Amino acid sequence: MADAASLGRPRRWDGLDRAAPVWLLAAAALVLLILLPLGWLAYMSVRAEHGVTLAHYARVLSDPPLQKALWNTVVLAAWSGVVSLAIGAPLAWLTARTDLPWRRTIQHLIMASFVTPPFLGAFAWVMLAGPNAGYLNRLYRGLTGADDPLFNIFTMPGLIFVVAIYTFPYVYIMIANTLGLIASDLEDAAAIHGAGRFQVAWTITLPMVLPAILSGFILAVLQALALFGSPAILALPAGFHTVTTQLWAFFQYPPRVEMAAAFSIPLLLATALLLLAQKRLLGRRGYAAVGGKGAQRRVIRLGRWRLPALLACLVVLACAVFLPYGILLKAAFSRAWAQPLTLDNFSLENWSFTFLHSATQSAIVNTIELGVLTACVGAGLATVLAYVTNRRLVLGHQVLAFLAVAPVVIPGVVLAVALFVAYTRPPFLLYGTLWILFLAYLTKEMPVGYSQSDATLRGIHPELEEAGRILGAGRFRVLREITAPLAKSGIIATWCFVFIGVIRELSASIILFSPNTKVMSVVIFDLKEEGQFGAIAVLGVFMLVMTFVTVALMQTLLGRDVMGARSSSGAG
Amino acid sequence: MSGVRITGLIKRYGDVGAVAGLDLAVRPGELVALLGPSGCGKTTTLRLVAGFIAPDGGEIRVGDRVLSSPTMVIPPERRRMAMIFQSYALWPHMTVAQNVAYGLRFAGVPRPERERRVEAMLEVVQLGGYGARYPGELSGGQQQRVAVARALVVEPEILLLDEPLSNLDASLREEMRFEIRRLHEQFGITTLYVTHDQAEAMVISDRVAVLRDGRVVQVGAPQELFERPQTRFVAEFIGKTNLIDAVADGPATVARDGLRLRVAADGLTPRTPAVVSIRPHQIALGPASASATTGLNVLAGSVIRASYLGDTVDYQVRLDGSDVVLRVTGPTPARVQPGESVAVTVPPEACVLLPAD
Amino acid sequence: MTHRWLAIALMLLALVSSAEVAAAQDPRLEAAKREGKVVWYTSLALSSSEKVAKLFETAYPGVKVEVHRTGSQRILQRMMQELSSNIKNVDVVHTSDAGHYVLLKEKKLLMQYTPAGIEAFGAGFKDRDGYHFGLRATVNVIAYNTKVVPAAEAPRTWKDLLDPKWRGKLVTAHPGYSGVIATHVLALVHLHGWDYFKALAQNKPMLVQSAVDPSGVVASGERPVAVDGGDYTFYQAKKKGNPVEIVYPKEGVPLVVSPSAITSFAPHPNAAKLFTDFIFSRDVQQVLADTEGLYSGNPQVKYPSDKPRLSDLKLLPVDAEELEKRNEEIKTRFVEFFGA
Repeated sequence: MADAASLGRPRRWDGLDRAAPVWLLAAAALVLLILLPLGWLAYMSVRAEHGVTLAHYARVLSDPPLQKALWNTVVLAAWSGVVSLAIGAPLAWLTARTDLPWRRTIQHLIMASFVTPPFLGAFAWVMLAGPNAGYLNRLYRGLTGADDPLFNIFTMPGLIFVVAIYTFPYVYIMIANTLGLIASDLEDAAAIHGAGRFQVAWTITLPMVLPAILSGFILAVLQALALFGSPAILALPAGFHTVTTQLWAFFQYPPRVEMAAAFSIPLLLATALLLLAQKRLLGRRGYAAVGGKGAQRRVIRLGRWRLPALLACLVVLACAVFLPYGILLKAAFSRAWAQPLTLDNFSLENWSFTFLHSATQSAIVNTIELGVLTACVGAGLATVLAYVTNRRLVLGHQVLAFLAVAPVVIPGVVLAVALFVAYTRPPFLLYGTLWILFLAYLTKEMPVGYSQSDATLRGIHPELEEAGRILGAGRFRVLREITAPLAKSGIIATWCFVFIGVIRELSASIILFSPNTKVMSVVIFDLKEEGQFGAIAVLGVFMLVMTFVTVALMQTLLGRDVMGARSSSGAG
Repeated sequence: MSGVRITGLIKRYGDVGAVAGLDLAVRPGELVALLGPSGCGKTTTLRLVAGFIAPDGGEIRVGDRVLSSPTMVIPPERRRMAMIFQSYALWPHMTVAQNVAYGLRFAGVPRPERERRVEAMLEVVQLGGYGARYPGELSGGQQQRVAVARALVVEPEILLLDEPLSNLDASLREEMRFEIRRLHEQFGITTLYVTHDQAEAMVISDRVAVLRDGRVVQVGAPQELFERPQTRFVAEFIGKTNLIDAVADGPATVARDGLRLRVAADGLTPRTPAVVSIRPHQIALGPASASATTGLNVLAGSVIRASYLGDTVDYQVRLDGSDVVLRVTGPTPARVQPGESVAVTVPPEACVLLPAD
Repeated sequence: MTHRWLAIALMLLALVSSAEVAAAQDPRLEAAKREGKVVWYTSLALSSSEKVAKLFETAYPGVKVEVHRTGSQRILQRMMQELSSNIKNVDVVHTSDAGHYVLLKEKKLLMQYTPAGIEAFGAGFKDRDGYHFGLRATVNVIAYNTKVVPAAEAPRTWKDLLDPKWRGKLVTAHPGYSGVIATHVLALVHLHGWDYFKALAQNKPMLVQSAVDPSGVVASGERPVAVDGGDYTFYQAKKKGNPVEIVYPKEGVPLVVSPSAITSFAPHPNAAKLFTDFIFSRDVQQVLADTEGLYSGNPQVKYPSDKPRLSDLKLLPVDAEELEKRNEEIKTRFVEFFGA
């Protein structure tokens, strides 16, 4: 009404959304963020002195050691998926549908395993199950007098085990969420028609959970494919490569970037295909059909199986959380990690050594800077993008939504190769600065951030904004006074997810860091190469504390359990 | 006070034309309902009027100002309109008073004046003293009243309502119909009201525009629409009716099989197809032996079902020598039982002739 | 008594102040302070390099040492990577792969600078063109965990390691990471040929990266026998009370001289020169020998009594030019035999 006079004289510009530049800018940033590196990667993989060539592909696919690395990755990913399923599915059923004791606690501990950086877990398991010095193996030998180790972690089965205990939460979340949606009426309906308890499970429950099972399996496989830290810590000492460690090895001097690019493409294609398969699975039999919100769910009584089931859960959690955390703490406070923690062996030396080391200090600062910066920019960009796609503000918003989640298919190492190629040459010379890491993290965390923001904005009815517009508030004012306050808690959650993701990132950092831009995970990896167990444990404990403080902060701020919400975000 | 004039309005989503050349004129101070089944384009039309979306063709004018055309759309915040949404769209993070006061901030109303007007408006919608509450603490009906207050307090030039009552339960909905009509009479704001409920449209509006496939098929006062529908669609959509496909066989008579009806028309061309609409409540049932009154259509038939509905009885009567089954509304208690033969009496003026599709 | 102590104290005071005078007179110190720091890419074990840095910072307050410690091969890779992105970061570069300095010199990336007092150093520690000098030396040895392996059964020669009884009990570091190991591999290839490594791989050694790491693995007992690694790392482990014993094989021990040089593009040239003089000084060389168990090119340096003299060992030196040329071959064949 303030503008009553101008109403009479319509101007050409009135037709344009004054906020349009913001939407277009966000869209352009996203396109640049994702398409530029991937374009370079594709180009690099076929680059020749003159014109293009498929020679790099021919070389990487015909070289026996590289073929071996490919095969190892296939074995690792497939088995990790199977083991994750074998752990995650029963746990999901037990916590979602039965009267298992301590269900809440178990859920929380599974989430602890979820946020544990896998490379820290792998490192802890070196101390636990190294064939000779490993704590558990020594215990076993002491008890039985046997010569052979109980378990050798430096083997393919060992690697699969360590990968699976940090990957099964993906399966768990997928299945637990679905089980939580199946109304007992559906099962009762079958029971009324005469089906027995197992027939109900087999004919009704299982088929309804099947898409979740398969898609959880695929998510687990995707994780295992993309991991760098665990294979680097466990496979390299055993003398075998996976695709990710091989990609990293290509960067030794003299770097063979073309080979790395060509070798990245199969991994990229594999993850893309798997993700497509997962979308199909989830899309066909709609989850919406699984159940209504108010549906009643009956708790299944375990009877005399209650305690054995609890025990099984505790064994899994011991492997994923108790034992690794315990050994890390012990190593952090001992002079010699392999010796008993006596008063003699107790020491704060590791702490002073770690924190006085100049590389560690700058790495901690770098990590926190990058974490905060990426979380702020990432949460902001993801929110704007989710807003643009939810409100369909620009042409091609579906493409934007796709691009925002597309990095899910890009393993960290591949992304790093792509960014390396894109940003070590004009016009973007970013190597050696924190910016290249920032870009890597921003791209890598975009799917998580976007999914989270998307869920938040879906929850805010567009009519709430339209009500403000029609009463006289402009687009920006509505965003500030109505949308932002309502989306606040969701944005905070996004911020925390991105922050946690960034501080633990290793697979892209390991290729993109330079001596001045080390981050904590890289320092841990460096220390590992030098066998500095105590210092690694200290940094690891520090990193875990940062993670859990963030999670706790987020839960206090939001007053609810937020980790479950991540299930929608895909492979992360 | 201004009216709204919509001409040739077009809005496409992909290949689907949600609004396909819609024309409508709303007179100043008038309340017009946009009525139609889901997917008819009524909500799209309302959102076009509000300026939330841009048309692909046509124009929307308020008074003599063009607000929307394919090349130019005045943004919603500069249209001096108010809207009441299906979801109410109350802001959960603001109190009732803050919700209601929101629009006044942009109207340049000073703060003390704002508070006074908010309080007064809350009184009008019977929510005096509720200003400090949050929307989440109110019942559905109270939330509805807040939404109404928020829209009216800014004294908009045009008021838009999008299915505002569809989330209320039946008795509350009926109460709110009268409330909205009362407020309209009190404030006299030019109003567009979208609904799919024909009873609601008829209670509230001065005129009703019936929409189908993105076009207005008929506009008129409720009674006019009910009594003189111009299409088979309108006849069926507004109230219950019996439709009989027949062929003209005289200037004022139509026939189907052995059936002949005198109708409310003159000068029909024989052997042209015609559709006759007869409202169930305009048909009378009598004993089969009843003598015919001159000028009325009297047909013989038998009752195949009688459903007791509390205040009325709904009969289905098969006419002898025909496949036509008529729905007839009669008073309670039921005077004829299924299987009985009856005489069906229909005045010719109740037989409204529609163009055949 | 009191007089004697006083005399000593006065003498010390005089020494310190004369050093201060000398330092104050050095015009480079002011320039170095303005530069503020020296950036040191080093393959010297982290604890050792941190110690050297702290000593320098105490001696020259106001000039910080930024230590970037990683494996020799990583240092070269990062340095070249930075240069190709036009980043000039490193002042002083120190790796254990002498071949690197052949390459760097050829690419004109080194500054000609002769540290003070280098004349006394042995010939094997000096570049004849004056670009780089051996900061330290070590020899590759076999080491074993005395708790697991009785001395009588311990391997005595490189060839002893090929015995199938060591299957699954060995650990080796990686020439793709460590210059010490790359040098070691070339020396043993000269001695026994590639067949030696092919046979060694049959015993499935555990692969670690740094030449520092085998000592930790042996000390913890994860693998009882190390087939390579700098003797100083085992020496340190032993000094800390770990059950580790060192074997100097009779066939000879590969000698690794680790050069240090200032880069031609050093962003802090004065601090770099000051730092280079410092690390080649007799005092620091002595510290490296005492606390780290390293060998020095300075003949005046005294060694702990429980370390063999270099002159008592049969040394297997490696030609830097050859090391540079065969670098790729060493890495490729090693990966071929050992798998990663």
